[in-house]
Amino acid sequence: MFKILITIFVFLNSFIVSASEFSYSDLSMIPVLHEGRIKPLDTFARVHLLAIYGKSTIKNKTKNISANVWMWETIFEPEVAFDRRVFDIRNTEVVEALSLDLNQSHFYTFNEISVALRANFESISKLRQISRKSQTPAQRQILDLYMKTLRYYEIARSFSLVEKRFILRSETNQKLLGVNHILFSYKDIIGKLDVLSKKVDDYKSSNKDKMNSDEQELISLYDEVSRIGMDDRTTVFRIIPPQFKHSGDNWFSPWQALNVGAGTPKTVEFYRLFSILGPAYKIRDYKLFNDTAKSLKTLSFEMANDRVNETILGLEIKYNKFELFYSAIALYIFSFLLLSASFLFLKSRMQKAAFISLVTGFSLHAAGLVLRCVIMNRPPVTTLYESTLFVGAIAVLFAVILEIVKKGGMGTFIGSILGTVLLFLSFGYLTDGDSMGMLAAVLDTNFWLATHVVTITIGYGCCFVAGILSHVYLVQKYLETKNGKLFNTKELARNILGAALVALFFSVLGTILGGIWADQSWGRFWGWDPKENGAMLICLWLLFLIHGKISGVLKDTGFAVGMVITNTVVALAWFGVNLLAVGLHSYGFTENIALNLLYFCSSEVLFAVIFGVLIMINKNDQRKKTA
Amino acid sequence: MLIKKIIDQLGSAKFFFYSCAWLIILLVQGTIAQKYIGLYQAQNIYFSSWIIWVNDLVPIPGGYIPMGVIFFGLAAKIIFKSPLKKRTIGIYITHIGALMLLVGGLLTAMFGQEGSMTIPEGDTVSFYTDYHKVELAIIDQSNKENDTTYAFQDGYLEEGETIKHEKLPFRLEVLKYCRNCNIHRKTTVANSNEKLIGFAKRFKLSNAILKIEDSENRAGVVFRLIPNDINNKEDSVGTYSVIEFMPVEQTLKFEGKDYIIGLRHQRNHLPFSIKLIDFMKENHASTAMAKSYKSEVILVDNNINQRNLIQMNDPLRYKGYTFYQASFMEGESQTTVLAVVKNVGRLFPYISSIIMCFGLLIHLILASPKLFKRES
Repeated sequence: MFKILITIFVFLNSFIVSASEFSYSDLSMIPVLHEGRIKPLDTFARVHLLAIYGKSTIKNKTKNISANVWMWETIFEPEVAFDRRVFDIRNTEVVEALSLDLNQSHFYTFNEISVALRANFESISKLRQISRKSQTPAQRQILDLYMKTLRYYEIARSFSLVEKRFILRSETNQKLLGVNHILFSYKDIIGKLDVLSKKVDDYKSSNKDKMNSDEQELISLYDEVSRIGMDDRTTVFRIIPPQFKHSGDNWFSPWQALNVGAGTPKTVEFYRLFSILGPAYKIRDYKLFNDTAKSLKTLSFEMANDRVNETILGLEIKYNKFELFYSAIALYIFSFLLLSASFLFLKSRMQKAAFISLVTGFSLHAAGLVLRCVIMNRPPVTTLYESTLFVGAIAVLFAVILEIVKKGGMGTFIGSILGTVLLFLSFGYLTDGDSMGMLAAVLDTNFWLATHVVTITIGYGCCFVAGILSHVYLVQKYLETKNGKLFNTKELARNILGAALVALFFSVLGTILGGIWADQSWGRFWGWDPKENGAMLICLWLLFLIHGKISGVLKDTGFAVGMVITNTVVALAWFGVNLLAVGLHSYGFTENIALNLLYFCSSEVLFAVIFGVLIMINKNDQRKKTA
Repeated sequence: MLIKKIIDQLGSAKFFFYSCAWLIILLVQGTIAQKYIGLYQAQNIYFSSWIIWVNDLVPIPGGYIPMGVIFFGLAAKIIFKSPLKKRTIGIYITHIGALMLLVGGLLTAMFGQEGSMTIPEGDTVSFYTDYHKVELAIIDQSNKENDTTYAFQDGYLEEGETIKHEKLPFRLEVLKYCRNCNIHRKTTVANSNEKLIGFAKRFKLSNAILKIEDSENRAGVVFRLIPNDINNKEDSVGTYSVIEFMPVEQTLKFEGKDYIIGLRHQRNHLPFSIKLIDFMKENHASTAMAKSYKSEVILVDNNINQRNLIQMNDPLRYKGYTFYQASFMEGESQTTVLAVVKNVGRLFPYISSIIMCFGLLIHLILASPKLFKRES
């Protein structure tokens, strides 16, 4: 139902384009090379806005500003963009260190920050000398802010070479530099730069007391041109594909292409079109802007030849736009709410609705994963972010299967909770930059990626399902020991054992596959690496509990207590080992994790222990009563 | 019958339950310790050991004990306590697979060898260097064509040990050895009976805490050179100090022959050599992140000259040795660093994993009706 609504909405939206406003859909398709991957400008804009602002759309009272709008405003109307409150600084220590005026919204403008950074330049340079490990969080944030600001400014200056900004009124000067118009760009006079500089040298060495107006004009032009010329250091906006065989795989930023001489008639046309965009934007000539944008898009695809796949770029834009995971989490939460409501009224219908909401959420969740897989051409489990998405999907999938087999709402309950929690967890990783990054050499093998990592994450998902089932068991058992037989706890206990065995299967298989991958890559099956130990810990813990149950040492309750703690074990193995930061597996470190992990693990252990003890006490009381 | 009772207990689920608990505790302790003392030390103390001394006073079982106990328990279970019933056939297969895994682990721990091989472009190398063990090498350079090396491994490097060889006209008495040493410049010329030569004259060695990364440890040894013939009063008789990665090699002349004495990681010789023709590295476009790297090598074994390409996830296997592309060094010439492994137990994990998962799968299929069905 939701999917249909979304499709209709998007379809209608595509008609509201035309000549009443700027259309960015063509520009956002243009491919650009960034961090080793070819992506559409849409992603490029979002990644940078995400890094600076924390979200990929700017919330505004009147109208939300998308990343694309923000980026092009930065390029064509920097005076406005530099005054937008987009730089997110929440740490007041940083605000104070940089002598910024504390803003209640904790958002600051580029102008404010660049002034502050310039004033503190010396201390910042000193900060860079300290190793990252010994920096305080505030110091790290200051440096990050510095890099982000530089990067933002770089984007703003990337097209300055085609900006028609220079004025020459004197006809002599115009003739000297071969310009026909009063207003021209750096690129227009690039052939005459040496003429200009020689002329200015002549003037300066001639030692005249007073220059006439023509000479003054030329000198001030020279100063301006030199200043703009420093923008040739901008390399982040690699929008020009390599046109020659010897350029290899490197794409060029507009300035770079000029300096390196990587131009062809096509790139000349590219610059020309760009030089039209700016003025069209400034005078709000929507039709001219949109038409030029369209031609630019066509041109870039021609220049890129077969280095880019237009369909996949289009898919990535859709992926960015639909924000499937946000919709999925909304549906999961909705499912949970419906399920809770089902205890109050209309039980079976609400439960059904809750289940449908869960399944719809899952299909969006899975669609997102599939899209990622197609766009990046590799299994969707290569980073901590992706593993969170994947484990969430697996947990919900198993919960859905459980609901179909067992009915009664238990599966929906587990699925909605796990789906929400795990997706929510994943959002924390989004501000780390482009979530579709490139992989270091050893990770970049599709086969082992698909098998080992996928299997282990399925194992994690199963463990979580078993863990949540055990939470339910403990609560039910506790209520039973107080109020007599209410639920079918014996059956639930059997289900938990079954889930534990499934989890064991995937965890053991995944761990061994990891060892085999290590054997193939590094030559040793097992190295007692923290991540390996973590995986082994999960297997050992499950084996420990299962054998405890088989031998009778653990009864149903004890087993359930142990299974709740499994959640802790999995969380530690998944995230905790990265905190140890030693060994071959240290990648994917995010700073907030330690504290959150502590909270999660303590709460799980507390839950298990408290309920276990309560049940034991109640059982003892019962025994005493019947004795 | 006592034996029967013991086997019964050994092969019971309860026994595994308790041994497993101990293994879990060791695993957690050892993993946390890794943050503070590094992987190598943590492994030696917690996992690859029989006894752990807590506070140097209380002995508790180290990794080998629970693993060994589980091994025997599993064997007992499989041989004596597994009646072949349809219900338990899956578990039986799984247990056999698990036993195979442990056997493989045992073989690797006992017979496995590994090290690294560093080859600059154009060079040929026929040995690999151990990652951790240190050796003292006495190199006889008297022959212009060949050097003769006498290498004395770990056990010799202890205070009080004597290093000698029938072909050497002298012996070395080890006065001090530190796996990681601090080097102090001597401020005063000590008035001692010892005749100090070379490095030992100006520098003193003292024990330092072991670093987290074992490769950062720098070993050092102080020894006295004693001629076999007591009457020999050569100049080179005296006390020397040698450290790993010495800036200047310690050389000496004895009975007209030139010797170098050095401390280095153990070298294991291969029955063949490898020559690096070209090392190639490819970065992800416009980044400094490595996309792939590979080494074009020639395997030289007597008359056989075989060209080979070693790259990530694609090693070279020859005569029981496996060569992996591990790392590289940039510089004037590119140098490849290969990881070398010789492991008899290599195939066991592969076979055991197939068996284990097959067994688990069968058990799940057979048992799922009972575990998941809805009670009517």
